Amino acid sequence: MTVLVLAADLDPTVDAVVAELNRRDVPVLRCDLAWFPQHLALDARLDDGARRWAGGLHTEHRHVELEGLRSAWYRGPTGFRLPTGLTGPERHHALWEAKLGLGGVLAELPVLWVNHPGAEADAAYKPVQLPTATRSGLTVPPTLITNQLDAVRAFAADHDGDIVVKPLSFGIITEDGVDRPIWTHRLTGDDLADLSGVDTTAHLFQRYVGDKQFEARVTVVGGRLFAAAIHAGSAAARIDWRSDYAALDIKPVDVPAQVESGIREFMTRMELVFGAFDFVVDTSGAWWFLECNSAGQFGWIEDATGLPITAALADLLEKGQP
Amino acid sequence: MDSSFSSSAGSPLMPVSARVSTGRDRFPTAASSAAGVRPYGLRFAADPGPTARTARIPAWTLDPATQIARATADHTPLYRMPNTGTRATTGASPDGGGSTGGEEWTADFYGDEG
Repeated sequence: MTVLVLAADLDPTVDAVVAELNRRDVPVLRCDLAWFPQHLALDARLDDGARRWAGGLHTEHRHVELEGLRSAWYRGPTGFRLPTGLTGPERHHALWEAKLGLGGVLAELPVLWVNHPGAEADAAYKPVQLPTATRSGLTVPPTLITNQLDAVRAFAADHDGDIVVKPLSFGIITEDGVDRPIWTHRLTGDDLADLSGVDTTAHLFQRYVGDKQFEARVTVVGGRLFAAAIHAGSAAARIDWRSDYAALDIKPVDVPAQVESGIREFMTRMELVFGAFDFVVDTSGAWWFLECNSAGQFGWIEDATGLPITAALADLLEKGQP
Repeated sequence: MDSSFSSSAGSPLMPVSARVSTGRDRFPTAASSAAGVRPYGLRFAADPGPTARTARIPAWTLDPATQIARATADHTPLYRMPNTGTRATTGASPDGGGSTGGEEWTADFYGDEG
């Protein structure tokens, strides 16, 4: 039985897991959706009365029967690369045919998905995550999503002006060929005085949890939790630790039972098998849920703490069940 | 629409579970719009600084036998190289690897990579 890994060619985190699976002699087919249709081929048949797709995936070097898969790791694959020479409408058509054809067959496979693409897509919505977290028993900072300037002013007034803005979607924008990260930003008085551009699209504002002890990253792999405390050593890192990795001190930490219960409930509700949760832990000991990244990175946590996340993920993919 | 750019957005309210990655939108040219039009949240997009990791990654190939990336020069697995693997780093992708982007990168929303 084979593990299917759908990932970009350049992804050292994937390399580490694949190396571990190789060490265990677990068969792996690693490919990127960018390989389709030119370097990845699919034939899938639903024969008379059949309950699942039969057929195979083929690359230049490997072949796997769809019935021979035990698990699939959906780890940020990049997009389909179509042949050159297509017109715009042709490309649009071909992309959607690929998406619904290959994507549909894969998504229907009755294997353990880490995570299923549908669950992954659903989890991308912070407006879905936040109330799901509260329903799961986790604590969420007051949040506003709006394109109304007056709503931002009222929200800021409710929280003594101490609020942050953070993207709902991508943490990077590429402009003029330069990737520019969009960190969580704590608003100043000047920022609040000029809110032009809020009405251009939806924005997410949140009360700033300022009385931080530390932040926590809890990586969930199947039923196992790996928690690390992230102590920020710079002003920038205290607002958004992603902005200054060099200033971080990362150590394993225990998760309070109530928070662990909430995390497990959230995973069930969102139908996730893997998730990387971000919390702020304040000076009272409260754990504030910020988000769950269903495709979160974990190699840096493992390197810093020794928490065996790579091995746990290999365990999960090898077993084919949570 | 420019023929070199294609969006996967489709119906913006389509069921999200129908999504499978179709890649990252590419824009032939892109610069900031006028103040007041540019989304407020983008005011705070940061300069990337000297941390563009992909610039430091050596030439590599995906080894067909082991299915892991190796340096072309000496076949060292990239993930074992301190400057390209999962070691502490800065930037949007703490585990290294430019093409996977940062944690906030959500493949399902991107358009055609090609």
